[in-house]
Amino acid sequence: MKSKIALVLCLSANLLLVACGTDAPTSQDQLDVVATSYQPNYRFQDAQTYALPSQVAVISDAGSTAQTLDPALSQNVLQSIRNQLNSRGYTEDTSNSQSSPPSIFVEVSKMNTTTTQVYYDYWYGYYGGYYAPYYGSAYGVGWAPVTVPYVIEATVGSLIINVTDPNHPDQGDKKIPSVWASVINGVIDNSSQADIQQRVDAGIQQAFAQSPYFTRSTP
Amino acid sequence: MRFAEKPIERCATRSFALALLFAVLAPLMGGANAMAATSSELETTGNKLSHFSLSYIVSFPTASTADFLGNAVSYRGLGIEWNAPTGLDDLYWGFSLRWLYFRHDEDNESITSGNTTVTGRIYRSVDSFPISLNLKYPFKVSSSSRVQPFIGLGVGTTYGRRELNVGAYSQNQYGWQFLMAPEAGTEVKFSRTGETRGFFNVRYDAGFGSDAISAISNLSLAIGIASNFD
Repeated sequence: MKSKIALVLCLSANLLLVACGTDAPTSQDQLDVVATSYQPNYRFQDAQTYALPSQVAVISDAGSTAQTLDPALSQNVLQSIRNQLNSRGYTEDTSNSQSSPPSIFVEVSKMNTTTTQVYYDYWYGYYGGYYAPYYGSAYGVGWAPVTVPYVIEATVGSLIINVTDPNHPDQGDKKIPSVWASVINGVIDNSSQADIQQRVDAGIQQAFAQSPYFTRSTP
Repeated sequence: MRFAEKPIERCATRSFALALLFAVLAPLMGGANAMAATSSELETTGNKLSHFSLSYIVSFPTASTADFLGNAVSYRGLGIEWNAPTGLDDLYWGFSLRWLYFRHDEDNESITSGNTTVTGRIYRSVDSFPISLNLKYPFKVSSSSRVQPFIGLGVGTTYGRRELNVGAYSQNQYGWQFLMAPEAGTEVKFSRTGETRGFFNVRYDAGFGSDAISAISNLSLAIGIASNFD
């Protein structure tokens, strides 16, 4: 009798062991998500030049103290994007010419808030001047054509790259249309600087890797 | 394609499932005790008594469940079952409760929907709790045979939880659905009396999707122990 109960208990214990085991992520980078979206009608191969901002914007809650990203990390982020665009056949336009804008503008932001509506407030502060020479301050950021789900729910520390086409403004809505956007979710957190840099580089690389249409060559 | 961010709490769900199974098992252990006390009487009655069984289950997802899980095999399955004679020939009726857990993860997988692509650690899982009433028919064999083949059919419901996680985001489906579960197997007596038996069976769980959750279907192999009790 006892041996029978022991047998059943033993089998049960084995089953418990089989059923146990971790499914949870074992490292922070396993929670990283890269999302990209694009304007299907946009001809990426027709663009020739691009412009990058001088620094990565930090988007915080309205009324909070203005924050900046570590300058070294900011430059590394921009350089990583620059490398990707150059490798895809685009040429950086640093002329700041008032007469002819580059083919595409690249906006780069880090979210320090989950309240993404403030993005629009910050747009004028960081990027309004980017477009003002061409369109005046009446024009707004053009998220509308591109749907990136994670923009809505981007966590603190997310890196957002928004590419716009200043040469085809929406005159009716007075918006500079977005043609490609990426959210690299939560990569700029409290990890070590080296770890953040590695994850940012990997995220940017992945964002472009999963966007084969974003090239001057005909896909 | 929208996901809600939430903490990953799969362990809690699994612990609850195991606690539930063991809550049901505990009184059955008591039943085993009582059964052993009457073992001498069983020698003349063979297997025509109520019996319960405990099994370990390996499952293979099929149909849309396989599409969702990338054909990942489940090695996490438990089952308990109680059966009793119906009084009609050798037919038995019974009650079956199972828990199956399927999972499939990819460290760097992309999902594309329309003009949006998402890449990250993508983790898919399905918890399945099929509950069924069943009929079993053991084939007639010689009294000296230690092997007893049987066929059966179960009808009931499955409570399922289907989860898709991308990084820290997750999208869940959960709910009830109709279940049909034909099975075939064989029991092997450990002793001449057949009081305690090993068994092996193959069962197909055909789930019928509902508005709440897609169909959960699988083919499972179970190995276990069955004991009489009265």
